Amino acid sequence: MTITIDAAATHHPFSAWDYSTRAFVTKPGEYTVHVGTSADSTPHTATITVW
Amino acid sequence: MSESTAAWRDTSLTPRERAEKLVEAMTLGQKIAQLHGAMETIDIYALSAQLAESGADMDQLAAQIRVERHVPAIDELGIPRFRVTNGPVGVGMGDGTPSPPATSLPMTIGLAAGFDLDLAHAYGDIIGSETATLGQHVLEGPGVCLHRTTIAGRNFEYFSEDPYLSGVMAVAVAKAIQAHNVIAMGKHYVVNDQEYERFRVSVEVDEHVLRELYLLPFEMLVKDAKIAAFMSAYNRIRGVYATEYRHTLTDILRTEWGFEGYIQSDFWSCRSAAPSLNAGMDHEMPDAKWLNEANVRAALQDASLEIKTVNRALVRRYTQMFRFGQFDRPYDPGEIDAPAHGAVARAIGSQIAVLLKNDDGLLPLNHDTGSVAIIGQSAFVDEACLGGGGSSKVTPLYTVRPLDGMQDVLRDLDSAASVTKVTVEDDLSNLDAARKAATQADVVVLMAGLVATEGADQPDANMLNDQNRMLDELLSVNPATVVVLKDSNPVLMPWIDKARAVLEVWNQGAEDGHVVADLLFGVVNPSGKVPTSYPRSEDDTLYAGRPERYPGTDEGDGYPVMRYSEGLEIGYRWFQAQGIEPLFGFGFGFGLSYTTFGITDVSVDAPDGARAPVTVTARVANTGPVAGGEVLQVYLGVPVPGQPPKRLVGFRKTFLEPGSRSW
Repeated sequence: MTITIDAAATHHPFSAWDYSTRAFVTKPGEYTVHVGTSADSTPHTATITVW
Repeated sequence: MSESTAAWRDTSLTPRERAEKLVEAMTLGQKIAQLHGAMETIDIYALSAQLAESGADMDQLAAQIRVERHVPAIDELGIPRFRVTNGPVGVGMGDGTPSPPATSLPMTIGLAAGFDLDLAHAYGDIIGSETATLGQHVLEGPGVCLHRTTIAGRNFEYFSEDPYLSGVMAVAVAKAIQAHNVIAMGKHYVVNDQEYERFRVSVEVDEHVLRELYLLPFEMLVKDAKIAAFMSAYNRIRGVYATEYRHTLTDILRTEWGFEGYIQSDFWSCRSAAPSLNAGMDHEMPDAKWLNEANVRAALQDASLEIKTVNRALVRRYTQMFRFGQFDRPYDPGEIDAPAHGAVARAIGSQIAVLLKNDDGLLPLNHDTGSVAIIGQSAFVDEACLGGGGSSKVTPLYTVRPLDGMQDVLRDLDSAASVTKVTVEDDLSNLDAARKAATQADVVVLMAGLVATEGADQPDANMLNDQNRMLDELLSVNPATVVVLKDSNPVLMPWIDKARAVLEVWNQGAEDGHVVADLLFGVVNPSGKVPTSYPRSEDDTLYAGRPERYPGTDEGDGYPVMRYSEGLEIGYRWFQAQGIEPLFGFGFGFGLSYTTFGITDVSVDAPDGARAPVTVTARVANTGPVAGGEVLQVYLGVPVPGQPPKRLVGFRKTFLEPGSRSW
């Protein structure tokens, strides 16, 4: 099964609120994707580099 | 003006054009009469305070005052009587005396536990359909404040501690409601996350916390559901009443997000005439305490209010009414199909239960047993547990009691088992009789729980009437004992180590009796997941020893100020950031099944960082003996200082036959 995470989605999945631009911004860095069956049980991880 | 030539009747015009033409044709008196509801003005604040002092609750308050929920028609302009019904857990109090009955659904916190957008759609579809059938125009729901604490009185009307789960489920509910040409009204905008002193309290919150958590579900409702209306909250935000706060009502909602609907006050949350309209509130309910003839004319006279602002408020509301054809539809209430909608309520109800504990596979129970004893206090064993108190309460079309429901299900299973019930007194005075019944039965089902209420938070996170002691004493009597919790909120479970099996079914509504039996005997396999973490102890919560966070302190202005100084750390974000384990070691998203699942072949494809959609694929296999549902969940760790370890960014539920796997 497939789950798509779109940074442009309305819930701003990759972004944090940025005070200087007064907008949601996706900052460069290493993002960790955690996959599993609860918040505390995510045995599968992967890293996404945003530059 | 004749009906045929009235410009706003031209259905070839856009809804907004029709609304503008209608408002152009109105006199000032007509305009003012349409800015508010028609109820006589009462002193709700004094009444609430009196009742609180006497220990009475919202239900008794509602019984004392006859709330009216409409704006009168203006026949010569073809404006219909505007009928406003409460939600968000079914069609609650509406325009009519008595309020018409409707399907009593599970509470919203339970719906969130389904982790299933199809269920959310089915839930909204029932609500929208019944609102339309009853001839009402507005359904005040969904509710999308967050479960910042687990003691907030109105959490049962809201989804979750997580803003994405709340938002995505609420979008599905709102779209389904509006598909019936009913105005959905997201609420309570915003940070009405507690009930304590809700008419006075002020919330202090950092902007990034407001945006990333508390506003997020509202933003999703605007952008993804094209929701027609919002209800502004009772509380103050940064010292200003939510109904007068231009930053949220106009700058964010309209200028940034492009919201084109209207904003209604909560009932009696309007606190001024010109300041409210100027800030962006459009409609006062249920009365004209503020937007009455004298106040509006005086404000126009002294130039603190412009006529353009009055027109704007009406155009916004009429645009949504035209959008849904509400001017063109005569009032023609019909009959709700109670059995068909009840069957949907039963199906939804059985998909939202969370199996929290099931040692040695005690559940499901074998229906080929001799005797079952249902034991618990009256609210949980005598009648269907309908849900929280206050204005959201649905008058049910019918109910299924625990005993009757279990007998129905056992009969359908061709079981000869006998079912008995012992009602434990609220003071536990007949605990010996319960103990005796538990000894004699082959299987014991202990039912306990919590029914929260609007207008008050819980004094603490424990169930009432000493139910913890009741469970503690009865859990050691018979090894074949299961606990069924019927909660409005996550509760503390000091007896948890003694319990072999715990099933959280929430406040179920009308089909309680059937749903619980369906789950206990394995007719349906539980597949719900925890939507809001259960703390192990209240010492582990964000408000423990922090009165400035909750319930707030008087910082010199007389009213309590609640500081959301925990920032982004609420719910599982709090537990994970603080390194505290929630109850069971599994908080948000956790839930067992009567089968087992394996997750393999997980891959994450990010072709261009975050600039292109990221695809997470996995194979889920049902490795156990019966069909069941599992929820694959994706969390993201965001490398920005101050961010908690994980945020939910996607999930998907799948149902699999034994031995099969998803592709």
